[in-house]
Amino acid sequence: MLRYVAHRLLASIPVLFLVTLISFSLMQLVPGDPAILIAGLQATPEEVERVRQQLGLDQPFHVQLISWYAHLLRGDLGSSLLLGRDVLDIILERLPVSFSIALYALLLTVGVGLVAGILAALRQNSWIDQLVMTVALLGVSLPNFWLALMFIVLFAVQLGWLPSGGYVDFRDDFWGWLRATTLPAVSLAMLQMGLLARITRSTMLEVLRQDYIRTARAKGLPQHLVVGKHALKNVMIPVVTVLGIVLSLLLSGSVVIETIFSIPGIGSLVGSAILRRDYPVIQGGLLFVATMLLLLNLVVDLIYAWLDPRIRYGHGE
Amino acid sequence: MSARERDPILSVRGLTTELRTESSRFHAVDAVSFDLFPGEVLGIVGESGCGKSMTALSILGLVPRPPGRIVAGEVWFEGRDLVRASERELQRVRGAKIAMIFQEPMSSLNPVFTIGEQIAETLRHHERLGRRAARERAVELLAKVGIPSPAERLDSYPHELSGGMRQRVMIAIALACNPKVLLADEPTTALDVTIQAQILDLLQRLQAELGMAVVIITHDLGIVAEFAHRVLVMYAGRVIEEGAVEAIFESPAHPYTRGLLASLPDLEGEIGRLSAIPGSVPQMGALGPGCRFAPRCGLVEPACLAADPPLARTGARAVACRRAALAAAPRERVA
Repeated sequence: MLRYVAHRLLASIPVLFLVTLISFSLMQLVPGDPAILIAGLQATPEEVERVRQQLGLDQPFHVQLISWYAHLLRGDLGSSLLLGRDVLDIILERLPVSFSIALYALLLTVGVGLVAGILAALRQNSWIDQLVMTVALLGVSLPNFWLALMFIVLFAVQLGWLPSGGYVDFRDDFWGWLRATTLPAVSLAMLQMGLLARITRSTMLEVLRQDYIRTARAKGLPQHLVVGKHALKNVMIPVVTVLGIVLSLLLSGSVVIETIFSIPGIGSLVGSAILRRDYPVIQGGLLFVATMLLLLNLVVDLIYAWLDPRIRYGHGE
Repeated sequence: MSARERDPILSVRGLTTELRTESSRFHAVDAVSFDLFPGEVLGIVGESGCGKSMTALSILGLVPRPPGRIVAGEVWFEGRDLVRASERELQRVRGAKIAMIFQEPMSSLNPVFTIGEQIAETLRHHERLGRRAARERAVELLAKVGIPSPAERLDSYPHELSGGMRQRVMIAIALACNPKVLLADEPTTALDVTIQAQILDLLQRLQAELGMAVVIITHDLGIVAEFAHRVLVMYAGRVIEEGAVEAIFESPAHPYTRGLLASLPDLEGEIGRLSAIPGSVPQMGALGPGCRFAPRCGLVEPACLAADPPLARTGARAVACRRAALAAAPRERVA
């Protein structure tokens, strides 16, 4: 198992290299110049050129790239072109924000999506089933930015129950954090909740038809053990498989959602950095997000092996 | 059988289970009645789809719903009608007093739990044993069903075991709480021939040892001849003949039973073509008013198509055929 983990971690290095290479190249292709933004629109071409030299943006592409990698090896992600601050500091500062919202959304996804899917399967074709499947279909089909705006209109503007944006640190004020993050987390989780509810329902229906469920009933086990133990562990196998997809959706969705709710997280950081062509921040942010995704997928695969004894990693390598 | 002198342990009366499909609904089990006596082995034989498995599932209230539903009848066990018992009462009977094993050992065990857990679970649930005590009993049970080095096997997962071993585990689960009745639904059908014999020997040995009553459901008359004391022959959801094994094998009364026996390969006689019953099992959704076997019967006469003959009982024998007397004549006369 340890060997497998080490192997996976080593294999993620080329992936991260490719991610940064592609993002670096893409930003070079996109028109726009951070030097103009920094120097100001009234600046003369000479002033802009001076700024460009200061930032090292006059260097050829490969020189910039190699210099970035050289710094990275020393653990230096560079500093923001516009804020002048260390990129790693900015990311670490915003990490708890994004992470706490993502965790909230993940809990909602698994809690609500899984339970709703199981209920729908157990009461197949009932009104509960119809309701769950309708809401799930809406969640999967409606774009999250539109949902977020509608939530703001309804819950913040009309009803005034929850704030329309902003962020409160959970270490300062947990209830404030919960109020501030509920709308973003729900908007972020809607798609995944729908996805998970649908997958859970169809898997549960499939599992409940299996012979081993009949065996569990023939043993005289009560319904809660038949479903909550014998069926659930089997249902979790495909569910955990889609958790990998769910996590990537959470990360990509956070760019839009954090921007809409003006939350100072990694998503809005990378989003605004792209608009301002703040190359070091974009690179650092993407590298960070990609690393998180790779690690989380590794965790998912390990859970997968724990759930299904027929899967064993680390043999025959 | 001396067992007959006592009261039956399980008494099925007029059990009728309806199956609904999108296009039709029919009685997969149609007014089935029989008694099972303590220590007795009762064979239920018939072709696939004749309702024999559905009968066993109906007894334990395990008919998948939808599409199935018990619409009539009684199943008397220990002074209680299981058809009218609550789900909680049924749960106390299942696995503890009436246990069941199935045809598919490959898929009947849960793939994500160890076999030790799957055996011990029943004991913890029904007998309120602690974790360690249940584990110890599980080892004993595995030894009892002939699994080598049972203590090590306890932590194996089903996929690490062969089909025969898995069926042994299923038997261990079924026997965990010393049930009074074992319903064995085609327990050897999915296994290799050599393994079939081993499993059958095991069941026979355990039956004798524990003195439990067994209902063995099979399409294999060889198993019935070897294992059962009494036979119930089912056709299209109905019991069409009943009697002691020797009597049925010596003088089958129903043309269908005769056909079944005639289709057995005869190892001692000359080698020729196997005789088969012409036609196939009728579409259950589209049954006429007459005898269900009439379309395939060589002895059919117009009256057979008018009404379905009732199961007529004479002593220990019962048969549902208007022409039973004729059919009882020497075998050669049946096509």
